[in-house]
Amino acid sequence: MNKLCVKLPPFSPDYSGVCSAIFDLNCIAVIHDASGCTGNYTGYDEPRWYGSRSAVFCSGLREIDAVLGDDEKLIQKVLQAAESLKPDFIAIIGSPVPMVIGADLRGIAADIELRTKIPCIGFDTTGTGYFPDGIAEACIALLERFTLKTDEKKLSGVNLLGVTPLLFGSETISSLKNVLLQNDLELVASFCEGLTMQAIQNAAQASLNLVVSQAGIQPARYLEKKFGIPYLVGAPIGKKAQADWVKSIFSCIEEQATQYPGNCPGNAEILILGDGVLCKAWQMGLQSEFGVASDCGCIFGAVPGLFGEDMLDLDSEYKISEAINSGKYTAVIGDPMFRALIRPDTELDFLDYPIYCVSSKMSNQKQENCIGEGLNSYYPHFTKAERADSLGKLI
Amino acid sequence: MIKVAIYGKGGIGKSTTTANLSASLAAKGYNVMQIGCDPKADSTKNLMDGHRIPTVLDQIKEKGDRLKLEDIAFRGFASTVCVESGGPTPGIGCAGRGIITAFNKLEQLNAYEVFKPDIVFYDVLGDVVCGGFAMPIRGGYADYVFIVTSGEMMSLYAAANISHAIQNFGNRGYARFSGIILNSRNIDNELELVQRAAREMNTDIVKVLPRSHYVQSAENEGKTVIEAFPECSMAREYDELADRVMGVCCHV
Repeated sequence: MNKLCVKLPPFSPDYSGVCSAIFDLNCIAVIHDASGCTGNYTGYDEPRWYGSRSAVFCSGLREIDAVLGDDEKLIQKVLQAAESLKPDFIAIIGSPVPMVIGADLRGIAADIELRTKIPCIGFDTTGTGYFPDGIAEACIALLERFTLKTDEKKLSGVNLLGVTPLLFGSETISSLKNVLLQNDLELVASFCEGLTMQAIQNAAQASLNLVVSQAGIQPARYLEKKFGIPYLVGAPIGKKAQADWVKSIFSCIEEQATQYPGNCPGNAEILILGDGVLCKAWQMGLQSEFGVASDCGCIFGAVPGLFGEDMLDLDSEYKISEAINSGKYTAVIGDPMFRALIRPDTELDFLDYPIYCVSSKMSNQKQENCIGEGLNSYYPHFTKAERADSLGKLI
Repeated sequence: MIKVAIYGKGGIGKSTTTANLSASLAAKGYNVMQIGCDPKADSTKNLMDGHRIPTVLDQIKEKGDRLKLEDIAFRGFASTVCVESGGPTPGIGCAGRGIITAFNKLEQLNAYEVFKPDIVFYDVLGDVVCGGFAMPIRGGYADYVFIVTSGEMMSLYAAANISHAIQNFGNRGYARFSGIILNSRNIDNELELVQRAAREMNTDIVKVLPRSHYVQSAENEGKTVIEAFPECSMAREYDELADRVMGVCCHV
């Protein structure tokens, strides 16, 4: 029972990750579900939904369709939508019911592609994984399908991997891209915010991949294996960290070497909760700017390639709660929803850092931009961590 | 890597045939992997000296995220890699979904990369009754399907159903129906009956396996015929079947 979410909302699932990854593209995204999963994605997991145009559809799966495995009904709906929308590609995205009945989404996609002559990709998402899995799966599928082999390398060209509005606020994303621009680096493709089909096709021209969240690790490994492009894991949180990040980018390009962040030894006073790669970036920023040691609480599970005693696998509400209330930490940095887990007898300071994949619209707070110097101005603003007994207290 | 699915009516001798195929090819020096896709989980028993191995689903249930490849894949006769997907207790759960879960776990643990088999046999339960039992013939899994049948009507009926399921999914890049293995029951006009059925299914009989007391004797010892009686005539029949299956799969 320790996997139950008692006080936290469920985090964004894998199918939302796929939808989010392809949001900017001229595609049709069909979630094969009754309607709840589509509603969850459009209502709570996609900050760009209102004010943007994106063709996300629900297949309208019903009991009899599931029992009989009536794939043809889904296929006919997709054919109609494709006929009127003329997309660059079609994505058929799984949810819990197709998982349980063993629907062959890749096979269905192959069938649709044969009939429409439009590229169609099936995603075996189940709703039981977290969004980084979905983003990774979508990125790899796009790279496999559309990225062109090339001998033309852009020496200062980089791809961003793992940029997603589910983790990064719009100002944070702009700052991240500006850092590249200011250092004469060319952004070839940004997976997955501001992504275009042209950029996907050109992605192999990059000399280095920048993995800024754990969703980017598997795509980076794919690009390294397929096109020999090395990658750098980390994000520039803090002034000195930004300088180090830029320096690492140039050295990785120069040496064509992959680099993971190292361990940050020390007696941790702070617990950072969130995506593993971003937690690591925060940890390094706090260490270099303020000399503070911290632990990374990876709420979406362990991160491949990032190990150490300072990397905690906190993939359930129970584990997050145990860590927060362990008595080891004097402060916690994380989404304001985690305040609800603080026990009355736990004394802590808390720094709110809302991420959309956890609190969606419920935190009602804007994410502060902590790229580069942003951290230096925001970090001192800890508040007394009071337990939030109800969601109402957070809104 | 050649991937082959063996289908057929329950009790027709799929597991016996598959295990002997595996044993024959392994004895010839091939690196062979056999994956039992039946909740009964007895496909590989005769490759494992008569012992049942823990199933993937039982091990997932017991070990969760701590599950390792060595918990579910075991070396049997002539170093064949043996895996049983397993399934729920009869009457509950979903056996078809169980096969999908087991296959996903094998992929997650990089089983094919670790063992690097030359040939993988999926020994699949009876009829393709739902999506899960079609998993072994989906894109990315088996490339070739052979159906084991006798001349008995129910067995031929099941074979026709399976061939229909494969042909139904022609647009999806599924495995190719590559032939029938006739496991003789010595009924009247058996060869003619199966030949006619094969024509109707637009396929050929790859091999006629005669009925032999060596099969039962070997099973009583918990072994394949290839292991227990390597010099007997039935062992030669299985060797010939193995050559023909490889011939079809390698387009020789």
